[in-house]
Amino acid sequence: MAILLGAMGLVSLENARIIQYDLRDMNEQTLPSIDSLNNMKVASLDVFSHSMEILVMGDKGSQIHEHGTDEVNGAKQQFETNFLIYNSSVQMYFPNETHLRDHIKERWDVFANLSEKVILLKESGADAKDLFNAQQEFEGAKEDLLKTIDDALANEGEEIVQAQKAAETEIYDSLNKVLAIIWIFVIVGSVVILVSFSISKSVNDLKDAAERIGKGNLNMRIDIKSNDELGILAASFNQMTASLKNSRKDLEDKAGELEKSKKELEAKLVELTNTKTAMLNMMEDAEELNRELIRTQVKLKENLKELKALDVKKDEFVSITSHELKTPITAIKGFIQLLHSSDVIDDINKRRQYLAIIDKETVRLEKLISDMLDLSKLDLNTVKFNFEKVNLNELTESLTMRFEPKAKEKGIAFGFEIDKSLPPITTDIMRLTQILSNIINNAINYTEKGGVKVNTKQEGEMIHFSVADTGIGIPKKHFDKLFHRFYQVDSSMTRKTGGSGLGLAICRGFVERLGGMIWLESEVGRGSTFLLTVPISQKDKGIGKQDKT
Amino acid sequence: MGKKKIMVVDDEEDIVTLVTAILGRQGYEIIQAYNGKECLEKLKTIKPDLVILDMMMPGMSGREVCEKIRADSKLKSLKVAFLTVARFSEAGKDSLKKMNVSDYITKPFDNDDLVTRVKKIVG
Repeated sequence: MAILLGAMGLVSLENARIIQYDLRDMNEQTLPSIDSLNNMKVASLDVFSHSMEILVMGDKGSQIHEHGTDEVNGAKQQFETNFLIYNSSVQMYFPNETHLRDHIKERWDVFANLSEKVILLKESGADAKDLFNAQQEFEGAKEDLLKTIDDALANEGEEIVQAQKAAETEIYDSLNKVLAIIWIFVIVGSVVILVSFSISKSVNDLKDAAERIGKGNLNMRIDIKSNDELGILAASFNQMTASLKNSRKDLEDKAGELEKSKKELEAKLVELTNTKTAMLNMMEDAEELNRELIRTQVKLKENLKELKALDVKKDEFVSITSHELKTPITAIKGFIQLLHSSDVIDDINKRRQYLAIIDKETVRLEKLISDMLDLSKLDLNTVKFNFEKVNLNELTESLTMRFEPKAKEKGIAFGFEIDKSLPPITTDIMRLTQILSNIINNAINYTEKGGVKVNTKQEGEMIHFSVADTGIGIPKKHFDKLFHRFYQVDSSMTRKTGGSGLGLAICRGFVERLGGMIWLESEVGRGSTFLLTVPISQKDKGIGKQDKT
Repeated sequence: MGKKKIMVVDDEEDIVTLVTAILGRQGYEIIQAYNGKECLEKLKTIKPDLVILDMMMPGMSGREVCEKIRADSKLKSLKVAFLTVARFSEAGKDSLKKMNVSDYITKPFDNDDLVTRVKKIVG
């Protein structure tokens, strides 16, 4: 019976040891799985950050683009490798995690595809809005993927803790069994002593020893050296206590070891959780920074675009201006040099022709310079207006006197239609004359037959002027651009009419400063009508007050 | 040997007249054109020894006309000089070289200088 109980105790001990080994094995096998999950996370973040880098600043062919693509591919491979490790762990140790593994795989595929899409989009030079959308989608996929990986990590952590708890319980069970067996020995020993008739010292000794063992003193030895059954009993008793003592020590050691490894594991888990939290926080910070960067960049790009457009406009203006100025100067200079040569001096026809050209080009130069001065005053807002009360009849008379001869010379009609009852208006008469002259002059220049008619009427607080011609007309697409600087519908006409291309831009500037508007209506082949309005009074500006800012 | 022919292309009538007067006195025959289209049209029947092209013309710029000339197998070797108001950067000069442009004359020019440059190109 003693042997049986001893065997049972040994079996229990062995059982505890096996459980402990199992637990250690499990730790060894699951740690790689956790490692691979963490590696997958790092690889995903690498893919994400390098893709974003390309998206933000890696134009195709740039170093960032090439370097980034390599990094993305490397990180993708890293992920795939770790996924294989993780997959085998799942198959062996975490059968309940298959669905998480499948999720990770699915989300990884989506994420990896989006990374590729983002890079392709960047390469194709998509606009900022498309890029931003793709980036949003990409970020979403990244979040999904990371969340799934975190779920898997949490799941494994949970399993390890569970397994540990189970193992602990089992080991304590085994320990209790052994202790129970010890107690049985003690009781059996006591009974044997009690039923023994021998009241010899040996029996007393045995009894004492049993009592002491009962109190837990396993160092007890009985000193009986007889050859009778009592002697055998004493020897086996000694053997039993020795074995018990060893077993208990063993068990205690093992329990201590187990406790230690459990604590280690728990510490590791805490550490992992902390690292994870820190990483998540860092990621969030980095993402916020990244978003900010993209926003700033989009803004900067817009500003740059505007600046570039302005710069192009400015360059264009300078280049056109210098061309416009240099053309008359070239002609004047060249013809004056020709006039110096003897053969030209003797040829009166050539002389006349060249002098006429010089004259014409000088006028053109003068007009161009005065137009440009007007424009620059408008640009700098330094135009001085001289407001006074004027009678429109005087204005129409002076314009008629000026343009009637020109129209007559061209063989076309010219006339004013004016409502005699119009009130006097407060305006800058010099500027208004300049505007109307410019428009009438254009109308006559572009009309070969028919005529030019100017109409004046009051509409509410405004005076409306219209200058209608029966010229070639202007296609609708030019209506607005016509008032831009140096814009010409047909520049071959400029050569014939000597326009600077600035007249209408100046007209619009002045009309708007006077408080009115200018626009046109036209039909190709039937003629054009330029319309402009000026206010009757300048209430907010005051009569005669100079407008200067 | 007949007169050397020079085509002058500029949208400014007075400049065409001026170049015609200057070079005409030197014994060249001048063909006039006022835009790129007219120039290319005239080049179909006339083969001048030099085409003087204004760079800045409405419609087709001098550069575009030159590109068209260089793309035409019959006109490829035609000598071209530019009239321009701009001074070229090094990059601009390089791109002119690539188009095989003989010279570029900056406006306003000296009459004598124009003659010297033209003589250097066509002899």
